[in-house]
Amino acid sequence: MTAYIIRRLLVLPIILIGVTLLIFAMLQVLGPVERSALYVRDIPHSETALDAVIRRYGLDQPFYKQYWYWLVGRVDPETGETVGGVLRGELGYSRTGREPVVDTLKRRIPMTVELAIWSMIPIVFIGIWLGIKAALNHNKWPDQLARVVAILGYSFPTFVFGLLVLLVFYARLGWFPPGRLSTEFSQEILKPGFVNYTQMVSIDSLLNLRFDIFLDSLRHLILPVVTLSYLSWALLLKVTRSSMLEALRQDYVTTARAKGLSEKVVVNRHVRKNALIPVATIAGTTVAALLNGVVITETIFNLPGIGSAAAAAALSLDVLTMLGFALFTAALFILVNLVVDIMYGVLDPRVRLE
Amino acid sequence: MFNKKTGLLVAMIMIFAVLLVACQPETVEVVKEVPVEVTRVITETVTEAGESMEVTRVVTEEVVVTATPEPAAPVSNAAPNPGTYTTITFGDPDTLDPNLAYDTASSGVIMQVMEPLIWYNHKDATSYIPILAMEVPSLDNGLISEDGLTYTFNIRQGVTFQDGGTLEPHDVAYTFWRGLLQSDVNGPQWLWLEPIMGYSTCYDITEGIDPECGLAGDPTAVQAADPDALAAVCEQVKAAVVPDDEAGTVTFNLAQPWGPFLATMAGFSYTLDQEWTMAQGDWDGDCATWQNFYSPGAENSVITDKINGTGPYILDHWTPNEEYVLVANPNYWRAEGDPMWEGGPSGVASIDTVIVKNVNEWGTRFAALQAGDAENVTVPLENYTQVDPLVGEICDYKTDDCVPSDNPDGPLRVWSDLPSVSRDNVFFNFGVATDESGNNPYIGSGQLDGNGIPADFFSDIHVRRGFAACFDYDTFIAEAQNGKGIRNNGPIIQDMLGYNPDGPYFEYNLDVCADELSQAWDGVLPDTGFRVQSAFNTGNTTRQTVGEILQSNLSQVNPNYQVETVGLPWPTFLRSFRAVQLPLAVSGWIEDIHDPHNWVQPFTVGTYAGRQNLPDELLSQFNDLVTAGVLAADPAEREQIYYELQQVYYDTAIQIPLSQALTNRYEQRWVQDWYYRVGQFSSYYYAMSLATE
Repeated sequence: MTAYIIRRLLVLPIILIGVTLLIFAMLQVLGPVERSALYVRDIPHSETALDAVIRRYGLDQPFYKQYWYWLVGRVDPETGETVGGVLRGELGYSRTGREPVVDTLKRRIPMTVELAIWSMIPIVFIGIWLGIKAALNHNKWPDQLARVVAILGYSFPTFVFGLLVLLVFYARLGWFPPGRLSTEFSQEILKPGFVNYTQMVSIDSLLNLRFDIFLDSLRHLILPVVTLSYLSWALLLKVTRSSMLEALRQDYVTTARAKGLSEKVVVNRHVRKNALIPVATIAGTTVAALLNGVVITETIFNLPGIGSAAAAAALSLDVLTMLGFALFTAALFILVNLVVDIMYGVLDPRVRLE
Repeated sequence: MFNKKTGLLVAMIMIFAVLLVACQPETVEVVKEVPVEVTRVITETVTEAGESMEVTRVVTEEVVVTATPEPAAPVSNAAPNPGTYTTITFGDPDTLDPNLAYDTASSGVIMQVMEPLIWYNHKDATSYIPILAMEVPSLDNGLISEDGLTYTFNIRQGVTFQDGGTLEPHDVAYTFWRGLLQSDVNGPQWLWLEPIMGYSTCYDITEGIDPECGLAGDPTAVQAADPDALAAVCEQVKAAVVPDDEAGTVTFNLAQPWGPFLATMAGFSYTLDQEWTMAQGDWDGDCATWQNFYSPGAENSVITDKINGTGPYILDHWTPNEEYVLVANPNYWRAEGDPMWEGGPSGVASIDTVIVKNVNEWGTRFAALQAGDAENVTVPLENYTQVDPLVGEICDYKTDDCVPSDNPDGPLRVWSDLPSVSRDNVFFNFGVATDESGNNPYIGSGQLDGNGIPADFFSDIHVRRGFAACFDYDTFIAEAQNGKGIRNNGPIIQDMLGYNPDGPYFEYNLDVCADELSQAWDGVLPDTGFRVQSAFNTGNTTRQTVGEILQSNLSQVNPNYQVETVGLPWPTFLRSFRAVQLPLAVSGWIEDIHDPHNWVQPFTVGTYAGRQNLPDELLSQFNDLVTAGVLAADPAEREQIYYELQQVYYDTAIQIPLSQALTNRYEQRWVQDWYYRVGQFSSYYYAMSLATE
């Protein structure tokens, strides 16, 4: 097992280089003029602006040179020092984030992680629980209810559902506002007395024993969590239900029942564990997707996570920022897949990680 | 089972119905007809047994009356949080470095925290008030020399920066030196380089070293340039802007007289504290090192995320792409009772905290406005109709008069029809650039064979007039500007010095269009037809509509007249336009300073004239008028010059000027003292307050 994990981790940098190389190569389809869009304002007043920008940012350099400079940095002709270079821990300057790419990632990831953590609770518990209930009550009313809810869940566009709940529960009722915190608390957490341990407000507020801030942050998290989780647990419900139904039809289940085991024991010991393998795959992908940022939910609820930042970078052809996010996403998916593979072994002893 | 399923479905439908009903606008029942029992005493004359007599009876009857509900209690206009003003917009500041800032979002922060030498007098964009200067220079007070080449500013004493430094004349001079020497390609310094240094070829400080512009915008090349030449340019800059700390003055020695000098000063003289700036690691003012700070770009300026000014607000924090927060400067130098302008603000700012949030999603901004969590949000033109039902009063920015709307209890106030200071034009190319073989992708065959146009197609004035007559200006305003636009009849925008409202407009008339085009090119066009491409930058639907209107109307006049609307990515559009490759382009201009020179120069002799390849005789004609206008100090004289220019512009039809957009501002009714000066992109929070009752 350990050797397997180490091998998978060793592949990580190769995959990261492959992903970034691919992005770099794809961007070469656009010429230097198109890629200068990020730096050139509409209606520039200086006729020399465009050429100067292309020269300055090396957009006319060959593709391999640009990639090499991004990877290992380049030598400043004046100072003789090497500047930039991912291998030196510098991802460059994010024009859309107006700060170094590393800082944008550092600042944005906690919000996304916080949202993912809170969303996973209802996604996993409601999704799996309802899926099991539906399967055990096949074609009875809990099953019908679960199916209707699931169909509604994954056929309801996020932006419609998000805007709808925002208009009803914020604009109309004033219960759950968007953003991270209310105005008074958002200034409060910037004061020296409040320690930002994790940059995740709901968790930091607990660690600072500020329950007023904690409650306020929960108030702000409810709508995005509902929006995100509703759509995701519908999928998990459907997969769990199908998987459970399939497991219930297996011979070993019939044998277990024939042996006189109680239904509770049959389900808990023999059915559920076997049915959870495909569920683990879906749950793993869902976690990765949530951690990778959910553009629409973050945009509608004004949450500064990495989804909305990545979307802004892509729309502006902000190459350096896009590469930073690509690195993060690739690493995340590899790690999540690794965790899912390990979980297979835990859930099903027949699966051996050789 | 069936019943349970049905019940489930009904339950789901009910939930949706509740949600939908919750989203409906509230309806207010105003009048209602109700039956009421009424008791009356009636006296009447009756005849009984031939004898008439008067009787009195009490009768009870039911009548239907119109009930008017009790008038609602007046809407409370008290701010829920009178110390805090929240505005939600989109677009983040690019930089806080005042020498580099050249976008409206950056200016929006800088103008609250830093101060210029002079500024606009409240709503009047043509007169000025002193801010960090003691008085506005004029010929009368002797602070402008007779030849118009020297401007002297007496710097105010006793003004402190927020970090504790004291304002001195050398701070002002340092700010100008630094900006001129930075000459960043994306910054506003080109506005100063022409009047102060006389550089109008490269609009870059390196023009003093290489007039061919080979160094412009290239920091590496500048750092490698001859040190003596570099030092010499720096010394020229220092000779042009001279501080005298003892006398308390800063003197500007211009390269040429410059009519818009004070207008430029009002917009671009936000002053840095030299010592503070140096302490951050920026240029130390030494002519031997300036090249290391040349054209840094916003990302390399050490003060791109820091700001220290003398203004009424202090930047509390800026989280890029999320928000910035300003807090009132408790040590602001302006004393209570010393108003900025007549009836204007004085002392410490009335609003303690200003929060400017960046929210791209309109639905989220709208929800915040409805919930009362934002004093003001940016409303896109296409969403005005969504917000209008919430408006309780409609105000006029010129008079400040407000009238109730159809919904007088509405929580919002709208300032309607605020004229923008930008405009799109249609630009004709008089001589399209082609390659060695005479090809150009935008002119088809390059001949009058129905599949293209010759390179000099638009050099024929009948073609230009024909296109101008084929453009439906009203449809453009109705469709592309949602009915909110005002036409311009020349290069200058409405209500500005030099704009002649009585001047002729191009008229939409398809008969005139057909007639003009039939006279063009020796009368062959109706038979041969033409095919021309109208280019715009992709994503700009307004400009796309311009091409489509021309396309529709010209084909209506003659099916052989074909216009193709082509969208190009912005940099490609820009490069092709600059390379004089686009036969017909739709582009626009946003003013930098509120002065007619900022309009006539680019449109008739500068940027656009070059891209249109205007012939020398036309250029010369316009150049004489533009130069006369910028050199004239007397507004009346300038006005006449620009009137004449406007007439030439119409007669020669070098472009089709379209219309300025009109915008609305929506705010909560507890917001007080907001004002609009034409050309001001951001609210000035120091002048504003929030109602407490």
